[in-house]
Amino acid sequence: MIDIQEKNGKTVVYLKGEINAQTGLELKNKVLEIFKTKNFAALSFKGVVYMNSSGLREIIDLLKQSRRDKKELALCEMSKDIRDMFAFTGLDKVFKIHDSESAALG
Amino acid sequence: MNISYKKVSDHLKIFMVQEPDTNDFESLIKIYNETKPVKKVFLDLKNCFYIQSKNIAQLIAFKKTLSKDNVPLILLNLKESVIQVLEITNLLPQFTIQKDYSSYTADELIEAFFDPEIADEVSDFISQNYCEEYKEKLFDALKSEDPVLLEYAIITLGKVHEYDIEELIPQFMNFEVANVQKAAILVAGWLGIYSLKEKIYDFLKSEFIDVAEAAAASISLLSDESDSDKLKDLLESKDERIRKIAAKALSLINDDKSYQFLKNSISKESNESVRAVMVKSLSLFNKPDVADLLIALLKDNSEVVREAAAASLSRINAVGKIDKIMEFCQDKDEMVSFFAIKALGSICKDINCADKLMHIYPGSSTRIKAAIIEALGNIGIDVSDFLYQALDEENEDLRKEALNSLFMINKKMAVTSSKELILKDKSWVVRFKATEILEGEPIESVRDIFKSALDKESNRYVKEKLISLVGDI
Repeated sequence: MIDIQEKNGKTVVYLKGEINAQTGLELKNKVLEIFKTKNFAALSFKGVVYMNSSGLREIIDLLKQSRRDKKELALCEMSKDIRDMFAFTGLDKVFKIHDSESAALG
Repeated sequence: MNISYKKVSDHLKIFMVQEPDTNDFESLIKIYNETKPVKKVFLDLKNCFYIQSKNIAQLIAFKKTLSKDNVPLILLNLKESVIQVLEITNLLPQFTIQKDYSSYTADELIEAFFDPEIADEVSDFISQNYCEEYKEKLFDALKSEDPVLLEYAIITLGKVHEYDIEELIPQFMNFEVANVQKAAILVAGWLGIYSLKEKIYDFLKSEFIDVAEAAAASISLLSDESDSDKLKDLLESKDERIRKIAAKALSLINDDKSYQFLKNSISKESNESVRAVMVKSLSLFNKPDVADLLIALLKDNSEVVREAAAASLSRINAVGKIDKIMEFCQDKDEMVSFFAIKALGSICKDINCADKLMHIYPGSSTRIKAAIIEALGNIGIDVSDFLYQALDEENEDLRKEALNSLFMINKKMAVTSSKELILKDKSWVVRFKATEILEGEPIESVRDIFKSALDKESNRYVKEKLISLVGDI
Protein backbone atom coordinates (compact mmCIF):
# COMPACT_ATOMS: atom_id res chain seq x y z
CA MET A 1 0.00 0.00 0.00
CA ILE A 2 2.86 2.39 0.82
CA ASP A 3 6.30 2.63 -0.74
CA ILE A 4 8.72 5.29 0.48
CA GLN A 5 11.59 6.58 -1.63
CA GLU A 6 14.13 9.37 -1.36
CA LYS A 7 14.40 11.57 -4.45
CA ASN A 8 17.10 14.27 -4.46
CA GLY A 9 17.03 14.42 -0.69
CA LYS A 10 13.24 14.68 -0.54
CA THR A 11 10.82 11.98 0.59
CA VAL A 12 8.18 10.68 -1.78
CA VAL A 13 5.46 8.37 -0.42
CA TYR A 14 3.87 6.29 -3.16
CA LEU A 15 0.32 5.22 -2.34
CA LYS A 16 -1.34 2.23 -3.96
CA GLY A 17 -4.78 0.73 -4.23
CA GLU A 18 -7.40 2.00 -1.79
CA ILE A 19 -7.30 4.77 0.79
CA ASN A 20 -9.88 4.00 3.45
CA ALA A 21 -10.06 4.36 7.24
CA GLN A 22 -7.49 1.64 7.84
CA THR A 23 -4.99 2.41 5.08
CA GLY A 24 -5.47 6.15 5.63
CA LEU A 25 -4.54 5.77 9.30
CA GLU A 26 -1.53 3.67 8.32
CA LEU A 27 -0.49 6.36 5.85
CA LYS A 28 -0.92 9.13 8.41
CA ASN A 29 1.24 7.34 10.98
CA LYS A 30 3.94 6.58 8.41
CA VAL A 31 4.17 10.17 7.25
CA LEU A 32 4.14 11.53 10.80
CA GLU A 33 7.03 9.15 11.48
CA ILE A 34 8.86 10.59 8.47
CA PHE A 35 8.23 14.10 9.81
CA LYS A 36 10.18 13.27 12.96
CA THR A 37 13.35 13.61 10.89
CA LYS A 38 12.22 15.44 7.72
CA ASN A 39 10.44 18.68 7.01
CA PHE A 40 8.86 17.72 3.70
CA ALA A 41 7.02 14.79 2.16
CA ALA A 42 5.22 14.38 -1.15
CA LEU A 43 2.37 11.90 -1.45
CA SER A 44 2.07 10.40 -4.91
CA PHE A 45 -1.47 9.25 -5.71
CA LYS A 46 -0.47 7.68 -9.02
CA GLY A 47 -1.37 4.17 -7.84
CA VAL A 48 -4.55 5.13 -5.98
CA VAL A 49 -7.69 3.69 -7.56
CA TYR A 50 -10.17 4.04 -4.70
CA MET A 51 -10.61 6.50 -1.87
CA ASN A 52 -13.47 7.15 0.53
CA SER A 53 -14.40 9.86 3.01
CA SER A 54 -12.83 7.98 5.94
CA GLY A 55 -9.51 7.88 4.08
CA LEU A 56 -9.87 11.52 3.18
CA ARG A 57 -10.49 12.40 6.83
CA GLU A 58 -7.18 10.76 7.78
CA ILE A 59 -5.37 12.78 5.12
CA ILE A 60 -7.00 15.99 6.43
CA ASP A 61 -5.86 15.04 9.93
CA LEU A 62 -2.36 14.41 8.59
CA LEU A 63 -2.28 17.87 7.06
CA LYS A 64 -3.55 19.41 10.29
CA GLN A 65 -0.78 17.76 12.31
CA SER A 66 1.82 18.62 9.66
CA ARG A 67 0.86 22.28 9.79
CA ARG A 68 0.96 22.27 13.57
CA ASP A 69 4.51 20.88 13.45
CA LYS A 70 5.54 23.27 10.63
CA LYS A 71 6.06 20.42 8.16
CA GLU A 72 5.29 20.64 4.47
CA LEU A 73 3.02 18.15 2.75
CA ALA A 74 2.54 18.09 -1.04
CA LEU A 75 0.16 15.88 -3.02
CA CYS A 76 0.77 14.87 -6.62
CA GLU A 77 -0.04 12.61 -9.59
CA MET A 78 -3.75 12.21 -8.92
CA SER A 79 -6.07 10.61 -11.45
CA LYS A 80 -8.91 12.83 -12.57
CA ASP A 81 -11.39 10.89 -10.43
CA ILE A 82 -9.38 11.23 -7.24
CA ARG A 83 -8.78 14.91 -7.95
CA ASP A 84 -12.53 15.31 -8.49
CA MET A 85 -13.08 14.01 -4.94
CA PHE A 86 -10.78 16.72 -3.60
CA ALA A 87 -12.59 19.33 -5.71
CA PHE A 88 -16.04 18.09 -4.63
CA THR A 89 -15.16 18.59 -0.97
CA GLY A 90 -13.31 21.87 -1.62
CA LEU A 91 -10.14 20.25 -0.33
CA ASP A 92 -8.32 21.14 -3.53
CA LYS A 93 -8.08 24.62 -1.94
CA VAL A 94 -6.65 23.22 1.28
CA PHE A 95 -3.92 20.92 -0.03
CA LYS A 96 -1.04 21.77 -2.33
CA ILE A 97 -1.85 19.50 -5.28
CA HIS A 98 0.66 19.20 -8.12
CA ASP A 99 0.19 17.47 -11.46
CA SER A 100 3.59 15.79 -11.44
CA GLU A 101 6.05 14.43 -8.91
CA SER A 102 8.75 16.79 -10.17
CA ALA A 103 6.47 19.79 -9.61
CA ALA A 104 5.74 18.58 -6.07
CA LEU A 105 9.44 18.25 -5.36
CA GLY A 106 9.99 21.77 -6.68
CA MET B 1 19.41 56.89 -1.57
CA ASN B 2 15.64 56.48 -1.25
CA ILE B 3 15.30 52.87 -2.12
CA SER B 4 15.86 50.14 0.43
CA TYR B 5 17.13 46.61 0.13
CA LYS B 6 17.82 43.45 2.06
CA LYS B 7 20.05 40.51 1.40
CA VAL B 8 19.14 37.05 2.62
CA SER B 9 21.88 34.48 1.90
CA ASP B 10 22.63 34.92 -1.84
CA HIS B 11 19.37 36.66 -2.69
CA LEU B 12 19.20 40.44 -2.94
CA LYS B 13 15.80 42.10 -2.75
CA ILE B 14 15.53 45.77 -3.66
CA PHE B 15 12.39 47.78 -2.87
CA MET B 16 11.69 50.54 -5.38
CA VAL B 17 10.08 53.80 -4.27
CA GLN B 18 6.65 55.04 -5.34
CA GLU B 19 7.84 57.51 -7.97
CA PRO B 20 11.36 56.50 -8.93
CA ASP B 21 13.63 58.95 -10.73
CA THR B 22 16.89 58.60 -12.61
CA ASN B 23 18.94 58.59 -9.39
CA ASP B 24 16.90 55.72 -7.98
CA PHE B 25 17.51 53.60 -11.06
CA GLU B 26 21.20 54.52 -11.06
CA SER B 27 21.48 53.32 -7.49
CA LEU B 28 20.38 49.80 -8.46
CA ILE B 29 23.80 48.98 -9.87
CA LYS B 30 25.52 50.57 -6.86
CA ILE B 31 23.49 48.44 -4.45
CA TYR B 32 24.26 45.32 -6.45
CA ASN B 33 27.99 46.04 -6.51
CA GLU B 34 28.03 46.75 -2.78
CA THR B 35 26.22 43.52 -1.89
CA LYS B 36 28.10 41.10 -4.13
CA PRO B 37 28.31 38.11 -4.26
CA VAL B 38 24.66 37.65 -5.17
CA LYS B 39 22.99 34.76 -7.01
CA LYS B 40 19.58 36.30 -7.68
CA VAL B 41 18.22 39.83 -7.65
CA PHE B 42 14.57 40.66 -6.96
CA LEU B 43 13.36 44.15 -7.73
CA ASP B 44 10.14 44.73 -5.82
CA LEU B 45 7.93 47.30 -7.56
CA LYS B 46 4.93 46.92 -5.26
CA ASN B 47 4.93 50.61 -4.33
CA CYS B 48 5.92 51.86 -7.75
CA PHE B 49 2.97 53.21 -9.70
CA TYR B 50 4.78 54.32 -12.83
CA ILE B 51 8.13 54.06 -14.59
CA GLN B 52 9.04 56.77 -17.04
CA SER B 53 10.14 55.53 -20.43
CA LYS B 54 13.57 57.14 -20.00
CA ASN B 55 14.11 54.98 -16.89
CA ILE B 56 13.33 51.82 -18.81
CA ALA B 57 16.75 52.10 -20.46
CA GLN B 58 18.32 52.14 -16.99
CA LEU B 59 16.36 49.05 -16.01
CA ILE B 60 17.66 47.29 -19.12
CA ALA B 61 21.20 48.44 -18.31
CA PHE B 62 20.79 46.97 -14.80
CA LYS B 63 19.59 43.69 -16.27
CA LYS B 64 22.60 43.63 -18.62
CA THR B 65 25.00 44.25 -15.72
CA LEU B 66 23.50 41.30 -13.88
CA SER B 67 23.53 39.12 -17.00
CA LYS B 68 27.31 39.60 -17.30
CA ASP B 69 27.61 37.93 -13.88
CA ASN B 70 24.97 35.32 -14.77
CA VAL B 71 22.67 36.74 -12.10
CA PRO B 72 18.96 36.64 -12.99
CA LEU B 73 16.74 39.66 -12.35
CA ILE B 74 13.18 39.03 -11.21
CA LEU B 75 10.65 41.85 -11.12
CA LEU B 76 8.15 41.51 -8.29
CA ASN B 77 4.61 42.78 -7.70
CA LEU B 78 4.22 44.94 -10.81
CA LYS B 79 1.27 47.33 -10.97
CA GLU B 80 -0.84 47.22 -14.12
CA SER B 81 0.47 50.68 -15.13
CA VAL B 82 4.08 49.44 -15.02
CA ILE B 83 3.18 46.32 -17.00
CA GLN B 84 1.60 48.57 -19.62
CA VAL B 85 4.80 50.60 -19.98
CA LEU B 86 6.78 47.39 -20.52
CA GLU B 87 4.18 46.16 -22.99
CA ILE B 88 4.20 49.38 -25.01
CA THR B 89 7.98 49.25 -25.24
CA ASN B 90 7.85 45.54 -26.21
CA LEU B 91 10.07 44.72 -23.25
CA LEU B 92 7.67 42.61 -21.25
CA PRO B 93 9.02 39.28 -22.58
CA GLN B 94 12.54 40.32 -21.55
CA PHE B 95 11.71 40.14 -17.85
CA THR B 96 10.78 37.45 -15.40
CA ILE B 97 7.81 38.73 -13.44
CA GLN B 98 6.51 37.20 -10.22
CA LYS B 99 4.28 37.94 -7.27
CA ASP B 100 5.81 37.98 -3.79
CA TYR B 101 3.24 38.43 -1.08
CA SER B 102 5.88 38.59 1.66
CA SER B 103 6.24 42.28 0.71
CA TYR B 104 2.60 42.90 1.63
CA THR B 105 1.46 44.03 5.06
CA ALA B 106 -1.29 42.03 6.76
CA ASP B 107 -3.81 44.77 5.93
CA GLU B 108 -2.74 44.79 2.27
CA LEU B 109 -3.14 41.02 2.11
CA ILE B 110 -6.68 41.18 3.47
CA GLU B 111 -7.44 44.00 0.99
CA ALA B 112 -6.16 41.76 -1.81
CA PHE B 113 -9.11 39.39 -1.23
CA PHE B 114 -11.08 41.90 -3.28
CA ASP B 115 -8.86 41.32 -6.31
CA PRO B 116 -10.28 38.18 -7.97
CA GLU B 117 -7.06 37.61 -9.91
CA ILE B 118 -4.93 37.12 -6.81
CA ALA B 119 -7.42 36.38 -4.01
CA ASP B 120 -6.79 32.61 -4.07
CA GLU B 121 -3.01 33.06 -4.11
CA VAL B 122 -3.21 35.50 -1.22
CA SER B 123 -5.34 33.06 0.75
CA ASP B 124 -2.74 30.34 0.09
CA PHE B 125 0.07 32.67 1.14
CA ILE B 126 -1.66 33.55 4.41
CA SER B 127 -2.36 29.91 5.18
CA GLN B 128 1.27 28.95 4.50
CA ASN B 129 2.58 31.75 6.71
CA TYR B 130 -0.20 31.80 9.29
CA CYS B 131 0.66 33.70 12.46
CA GLU B 132 -1.05 35.65 15.26
CA GLU B 133 -1.08 38.86 13.21
CA TYR B 134 -2.82 37.19 10.26
CA LYS B 135 -5.23 35.45 12.63
CA GLU B 136 -6.19 38.77 14.17
CA LYS B 137 -6.74 40.39 10.76
CA LEU B 138 -8.80 37.46 9.49
CA PHE B 139 -11.03 37.54 12.56
CA ASP B 140 -11.39 41.31 12.08
CA ALA B 141 -12.51 40.57 8.51
CA LEU B 142 -15.16 38.23 9.90
CA LYS B 143 -16.79 41.26 11.52
CA SER B 144 -17.37 42.75 8.07
CA GLU B 145 -20.64 42.48 6.17
CA ASP B 146 -18.84 42.20 2.83
CA PRO B 147 -19.50 38.73 1.38
CA VAL B 148 -16.21 38.56 -0.57
CA LEU B 149 -14.18 39.37 2.52
CA LEU B 150 -16.18 36.93 4.62
CA GLU B 151 -15.88 34.13 2.08
CA TYR B 152 -12.09 34.40 1.82
CA ALA B 153 -11.57 34.91 5.55
CA ILE B 154 -13.65 31.80 6.35
CA ILE B 155 -11.93 29.68 3.69
CA THR B 156 -8.47 30.83 4.78
CA LEU B 157 -9.18 30.09 8.45
CA GLY B 158 -10.53 26.69 7.37
CA LYS B 159 -7.37 25.95 5.42
CA VAL B 160 -5.22 26.45 8.52
CA HIS B 161 -7.58 24.42 10.71
CA GLU B 162 -8.27 27.38 12.97
CA TYR B 163 -10.68 25.90 15.47
CA ASP B 164 -11.45 29.29 17.02
CA ILE B 165 -13.78 29.86 14.05
CA GLU B 166 -15.91 26.83 15.00
CA GLU B 167 -18.46 28.74 17.09
CA LEU B 168 -18.90 31.35 14.33
CA ILE B 169 -19.62 28.83 11.56
CA PRO B 170 -23.39 28.50 12.25
CA GLN B 171 -23.93 32.26 11.89
CA PHE B 172 -22.11 32.28 8.53
CA MET B 173 -24.17 29.30 7.34
CA ASN B 174 -27.18 31.57 7.87
CA PHE B 175 -25.62 34.54 6.06
CA GLU B 176 -27.76 35.78 3.21
CA VAL B 177 -25.14 35.33 0.45
CA ALA B 178 -24.63 31.86 -1.05
CA ASN B 179 -20.83 32.05 -1.32
CA VAL B 180 -20.52 32.72 2.40
CA GLN B 181 -22.90 29.86 3.20
CA LYS B 182 -20.89 27.57 0.95
CA ALA B 183 -17.58 28.59 2.57
CA ALA B 184 -18.96 27.99 6.06
CA ILE B 185 -20.39 24.58 5.10
CA LEU B 186 -17.13 23.45 3.49
CA VAL B 187 -15.08 24.55 6.48
CA ALA B 188 -17.44 22.65 8.81
CA GLY B 189 -16.56 19.53 6.80
CA TRP B 190 -12.82 20.23 6.80
CA LEU B 191 -12.73 20.88 10.54
CA GLY B 192 -14.87 17.84 11.28
CA ILE B 193 -17.58 19.77 13.16
CA TYR B 194 -19.95 16.81 13.58
CA SER B 195 -22.42 18.81 15.68
CA LEU B 196 -23.36 20.83 12.58
CA LYS B 197 -24.16 17.86 10.34
CA GLU B 198 -27.91 17.94 10.91
CA LYS B 199 -27.98 21.65 10.18
CA ILE B 200 -26.00 21.08 6.96
CA TYR B 201 -28.73 18.70 5.76
CA ASP B 202 -31.07 21.71 5.43
CA PHE B 203 -28.79 23.16 2.75
CA LEU B 204 -29.27 20.17 0.45
CA LYS B 205 -32.51 21.91 -0.50
CA SER B 206 -30.78 25.22 -1.27
CA GLU B 207 -31.83 26.91 -4.49
CA PHE B 208 -28.11 27.53 -5.10
CA ILE B 209 -26.59 24.37 -6.48
CA ASP B 210 -23.09 25.25 -5.21
CA VAL B 211 -24.44 25.41 -1.67
CA ALA B 212 -26.28 22.10 -2.07
CA GLU B 213 -23.12 20.51 -3.47
CA ALA B 214 -21.00 21.83 -0.59
CA ALA B 215 -23.59 20.44 1.84
CA ALA B 216 -23.51 16.98 0.25
CA ALA B 217 -19.71 17.00 0.24
CA SER B 218 -19.45 18.04 3.89
CA ILE B 219 -22.06 15.48 4.93
CA SER B 220 -19.89 12.85 3.23
CA LEU B 221 -16.85 14.02 5.17
CA LEU B 222 -18.82 13.96 8.43
CA SER B 223 -20.69 10.75 7.61
CA ASP B 224 -21.43 7.76 9.77
CA GLU B 225 -23.42 4.61 8.94
CA SER B 226 -26.74 6.49 8.95
CA ASP B 227 -26.02 9.07 6.26
CA SER B 228 -26.29 6.97 3.11
CA ASP B 229 -29.90 6.20 4.07
CA LYS B 230 -30.65 9.91 4.27
CA LEU B 231 -28.82 10.81 1.05
CA LYS B 232 -30.42 8.07 -1.02
CA ASP B 233 -33.67 10.05 -1.22
CA LEU B 234 -31.81 12.68 -3.20
CA LEU B 235 -31.24 10.11 -5.95
CA GLU B 236 -34.93 10.59 -6.69
CA SER B 237 -34.90 14.39 -6.61
CA LYS B 238 -36.67 16.17 -9.47
CA ASP B 239 -33.56 18.25 -9.98
CA GLU B 240 -31.02 16.32 -12.06
CA ARG B 241 -28.17 18.34 -10.53
CA ILE B 242 -29.15 17.11 -7.07
CA ARG B 243 -29.24 13.51 -8.32
CA LYS B 244 -25.68 13.91 -9.62
CA ILE B 245 -24.54 15.42 -6.33
CA ALA B 246 -26.15 12.54 -4.41
CA ALA B 247 -24.30 10.01 -6.56
CA LYS B 248 -20.97 11.73 -5.86
CA ALA B 249 -21.66 11.96 -2.13
CA LEU B 250 -22.63 8.28 -1.90
CA SER B 251 -19.50 7.22 -3.75
CA LEU B 252 -17.42 9.26 -1.31
CA ILE B 253 -19.14 7.62 1.69
CA ASN B 254 -18.47 4.35 -0.12
CA ASP B 255 -20.20 1.91 2.25
CA ASP B 256 -22.19 -1.18 1.27
CA LYS B 257 -25.53 0.60 1.51
CA SER B 258 -24.39 3.45 -0.72
CA TYR B 259 -23.27 0.90 -3.28
CA GLN B 260 -26.64 -0.82 -3.33
CA PHE B 261 -28.52 2.48 -3.60
CA LEU B 262 -26.43 3.58 -6.56
CA LYS B 263 -26.64 0.22 -8.29
CA ASN B 264 -30.42 0.22 -7.98
CA SER B 265 -30.72 3.81 -9.19
CA ILE B 266 -28.79 3.37 -12.44
CA SER B 267 -31.45 1.14 -13.95
CA LYS B 268 -34.23 3.52 -12.90
CA GLU B 269 -32.53 6.74 -13.98
CA SER B 270 -33.80 8.07 -17.31
CA ASN B 271 -31.45 11.02 -17.76
CA GLU B 272 -28.29 9.87 -19.55
CA SER B 273 -25.97 12.50 -18.09
CA VAL B 274 -27.07 11.60 -14.54
CA ARG B 275 -26.67 7.90 -15.39
CA ALA B 276 -23.15 8.59 -16.66
CA VAL B 277 -22.27 10.25 -13.33
CA MET B 278 -23.78 7.27 -11.52
CA VAL B 279 -21.69 4.87 -13.62
CA LYS B 280 -18.53 6.74 -12.72
CA SER B 281 -19.56 6.89 -9.06
CA LEU B 282 -20.22 3.16 -9.06
CA SER B 283 -16.75 2.48 -10.45
CA LEU B 284 -15.28 4.18 -7.37
CA PHE B 285 -16.44 1.25 -5.22
CA ASN B 286 -13.94 -1.55 -4.79
CA LYS B 287 -16.47 -4.34 -5.27
CA PRO B 288 -16.05 -7.61 -7.18
CA ASP B 289 -19.11 -7.18 -9.38
CA VAL B 290 -18.38 -3.61 -10.51
CA ALA B 291 -16.45 -4.69 -13.62
CA ASP B 292 -19.33 -6.93 -14.79
CA LEU B 293 -21.81 -4.11 -14.25
CA LEU B 294 -19.63 -1.77 -16.29
CA ILE B 295 -19.24 -4.33 -19.09
CA ALA B 296 -23.02 -4.69 -19.24
CA LEU B 297 -23.31 -0.90 -19.44
CA LEU B 298 -21.16 -0.92 -22.60
CA LYS B 299 -24.45 -1.95 -24.23
CA ASP B 300 -26.50 0.83 -22.66
CA ASN B 301 -28.83 2.72 -24.99
CA SER B 302 -26.94 5.93 -24.37
CA GLU B 303 -23.52 6.57 -25.94
CA VAL B 304 -22.70 8.90 -23.04
CA VAL B 305 -23.22 6.03 -20.60
CA ARG B 306 -21.25 3.60 -22.78
CA GLU B 307 -18.37 6.04 -22.88
CA ALA B 308 -18.50 6.45 -19.08
CA ALA B 309 -18.52 2.67 -18.68
CA ALA B 310 -15.52 2.24 -21.02
CA ALA B 311 -13.58 4.97 -19.22
CA SER B 312 -14.44 3.43 -15.85
CA LEU B 313 -13.29 -0.03 -16.98
CA SER B 314 -9.96 1.56 -17.92
CA ARG B 315 -9.76 3.39 -14.61
CA ILE B 316 -10.28 0.28 -12.51
CA ASN B 317 -7.90 -1.57 -14.87
CA ALA B 318 -10.26 -4.52 -15.34
CA VAL B 319 -7.58 -6.90 -16.65
CA GLY B 320 -9.50 -9.91 -15.32
CA LYS B 321 -12.34 -9.08 -17.70
CA ILE B 322 -10.38 -8.75 -20.95
CA ASP B 323 -11.96 -11.84 -22.55
CA LYS B 324 -15.45 -10.51 -21.82
CA ILE B 325 -14.62 -7.08 -23.23
CA MET B 326 -13.11 -8.73 -26.33
CA GLU B 327 -16.44 -10.39 -27.01
CA PHE B 328 -17.97 -6.90 -27.37
CA CYS B 329 -15.35 -5.77 -29.91
CA GLN B 330 -17.33 -7.30 -32.79
CA ASP B 331 -20.79 -6.38 -31.62
CA LYS B 332 -23.35 -5.71 -34.32
CA ASP B 333 -23.86 -2.26 -32.78
CA GLU B 334 -20.83 -0.32 -34.01
CA MET B 335 -20.73 2.01 -31.00
CA VAL B 336 -20.67 -0.94 -28.58
CA SER B 337 -17.61 -2.24 -30.46
CA PHE B 338 -16.08 1.23 -30.51
CA PHE B 339 -16.17 1.69 -26.74
CA ALA B 340 -15.14 -1.92 -26.06
CA ILE B 341 -12.06 -1.42 -28.29
CA LYS B 342 -11.24 1.82 -26.50
CA ALA B 343 -11.48 0.10 -23.10
CA LEU B 344 -9.40 -2.83 -24.33
CA GLY B 345 -6.72 -0.50 -25.65
CA SER B 346 -6.19 1.09 -22.27
CA ILE B 347 -6.41 -2.07 -20.17
CA CYS B 348 -4.70 -4.77 -22.20
CA LYS B 349 -0.95 -5.05 -22.75
CA ASP B 350 -1.13 -8.51 -24.28
CA ILE B 351 -0.34 -9.84 -27.77
CA ASN B 352 -3.69 -11.68 -27.84
CA CYS B 353 -5.57 -8.37 -27.69
CA ALA B 354 -3.43 -6.91 -30.48
CA ASP B 355 -3.97 -10.06 -32.59
CA LYS B 356 -7.73 -9.94 -32.03
CA LEU B 357 -7.93 -6.28 -33.03
CA MET B 358 -5.78 -6.77 -36.13
CA HIS B 359 -7.98 -9.71 -37.05
CA ILE B 360 -11.18 -7.67 -37.02
CA TYR B 361 -9.58 -4.65 -38.72
CA PRO B 362 -10.21 -5.62 -42.38
CA GLY B 363 -13.79 -4.92 -43.34
CA SER B 364 -14.42 -2.67 -40.32
CA SER B 365 -15.81 0.84 -40.64
CA THR B 366 -13.49 3.84 -40.56
CA ARG B 367 -14.53 4.69 -37.00
CA ILE B 368 -13.72 1.16 -35.78
CA LYS B 369 -10.46 1.10 -37.72
CA ALA B 370 -9.40 4.37 -36.10
CA ALA B 371 -10.26 2.98 -32.66
CA ILE B 372 -8.25 -0.18 -33.40
CA ILE B 373 -5.20 1.79 -34.56
CA GLU B 374 -5.35 3.98 -31.45
CA ALA B 375 -5.79 0.92 -29.22
CA LEU B 376 -2.79 -0.82 -30.82
CA GLY B 377 -0.63 2.18 -29.95
CA ASN B 378 -1.84 2.04 -26.35
CA ILE B 379 -1.40 -1.74 -26.03
CA GLY B 380 2.24 -1.22 -26.92
CA ILE B 381 3.00 -4.62 -28.51
CA ASP B 382 5.24 -4.20 -31.57
CA VAL B 383 2.84 -4.37 -34.50
CA SER B 384 4.92 -1.95 -36.58
CA ASP B 385 4.40 -3.79 -39.87
CA PHE B 386 0.63 -3.65 -39.48
CA LEU B 387 0.68 0.07 -38.67
CA TYR B 388 3.15 0.73 -41.49
CA GLN B 389 0.66 -0.78 -43.92
CA ALA B 390 -2.09 1.39 -42.43
CA LEU B 391 -0.09 4.43 -43.57
CA ASP B 392 -1.40 3.56 -47.06
CA GLU B 393 -5.06 3.81 -46.00
CA GLU B 394 -7.18 6.06 -48.20
CA ASN B 395 -8.65 7.89 -45.20
CA GLU B 396 -6.39 10.68 -43.88
CA ASP B 397 -7.48 10.28 -40.25
CA LEU B 398 -6.49 6.62 -40.32
CA ARG B 399 -3.06 7.50 -41.76
CA LYS B 400 -2.57 10.14 -39.10
CA GLU B 401 -3.62 7.76 -36.28
CA ALA B 402 -1.38 5.03 -37.73
CA LEU B 403 1.61 7.40 -37.71
CA ASN B 404 0.84 8.39 -34.13
CA SER B 405 0.52 4.80 -32.93
CA LEU B 406 3.64 3.81 -34.85
CA PHE B 407 5.50 6.57 -33.00
CA MET B 408 4.29 5.12 -29.68
CA ILE B 409 5.65 1.65 -30.35
CA ASN B 410 8.47 2.08 -32.89
CA LYS B 411 9.90 5.58 -32.85
CA LYS B 412 12.62 4.82 -35.39
CA MET B 413 10.17 3.56 -37.99
CA ALA B 414 7.80 6.47 -37.28
CA VAL B 415 10.62 8.99 -37.84
CA THR B 416 11.66 7.33 -41.11
CA SER B 417 8.04 7.30 -42.28
CA SER B 418 7.53 10.91 -41.21
CA LYS B 419 10.49 12.02 -43.31
CA GLU B 420 8.68 10.64 -46.37
CA LEU B 421 5.16 11.69 -45.42
CA ILE B 422 6.06 15.30 -44.63
CA LEU B 423 6.99 15.69 -48.30
CA LYS B 424 4.61 13.30 -50.03
CA ASP B 425 1.35 12.80 -48.18
CA LYS B 426 -1.58 14.51 -49.86
CA SER B 427 -3.27 15.36 -46.54
CA TRP B 428 -2.09 18.31 -44.45
CA VAL B 429 -3.34 16.55 -41.32
CA VAL B 430 -0.81 13.77 -41.90
CA ARG B 431 1.94 16.21 -42.88
CA PHE B 432 1.29 18.15 -39.67
CA LYS B 433 1.55 14.98 -37.57
CA ALA B 434 4.79 14.07 -39.40
CA THR B 435 6.17 17.53 -38.63
CA GLU B 436 5.28 17.12 -34.96
CA ILE B 437 7.11 13.78 -34.84
CA LEU B 438 10.22 15.19 -36.55
CA GLU B 439 10.20 18.20 -34.24
CA GLY B 440 11.66 15.99 -31.50
CA GLU B 441 14.63 14.91 -33.65
CA PRO B 442 18.13 16.50 -33.57
CA ILE B 443 18.04 19.65 -35.69
CA GLU B 444 20.88 18.61 -37.98
CA SER B 445 19.03 15.46 -39.05
CA VAL B 446 15.84 17.28 -40.08
CA ARG B 447 17.01 20.74 -41.14
CA ASP B 448 17.08 19.99 -44.88
CA ILE B 449 13.78 18.09 -44.76
CA PHE B 450 12.04 20.99 -43.02
CA LYS B 451 13.40 23.43 -45.60
CA SER B 452 12.31 21.23 -48.54
CA ALA B 453 8.88 20.74 -46.97
CA LEU B 454 8.51 24.48 -46.44
CA ASP B 455 9.31 25.16 -50.11
CA LYS B 456 6.53 22.81 -51.20
CA GLU B 457 3.98 23.41 -48.44
CA SER B 458 0.73 25.19 -49.30
CA ASN B 459 -1.28 24.56 -46.12
CA ARG B 460 -1.28 27.49 -43.72
CA TYR B 461 -1.08 25.48 -40.48
CA VAL B 462 1.76 23.21 -41.59
CA LYS B 463 3.55 26.18 -43.08
CA GLU B 464 3.33 28.15 -39.82
CA LYS B 465 4.60 25.13 -37.89
CA LEU B 466 7.52 24.66 -40.28
CA ILE B 467 8.38 28.37 -40.23
CA SER B 468 8.53 28.30 -36.44
CA LEU B 469 10.84 25.27 -36.59
CA VAL B 470 13.03 26.57 -39.41
CA GLY B 471 13.13 29.91 -37.60
CA ASP B 472 14.47 28.13 -34.51
CA ILE B 473 17.17 26.57 -36.67
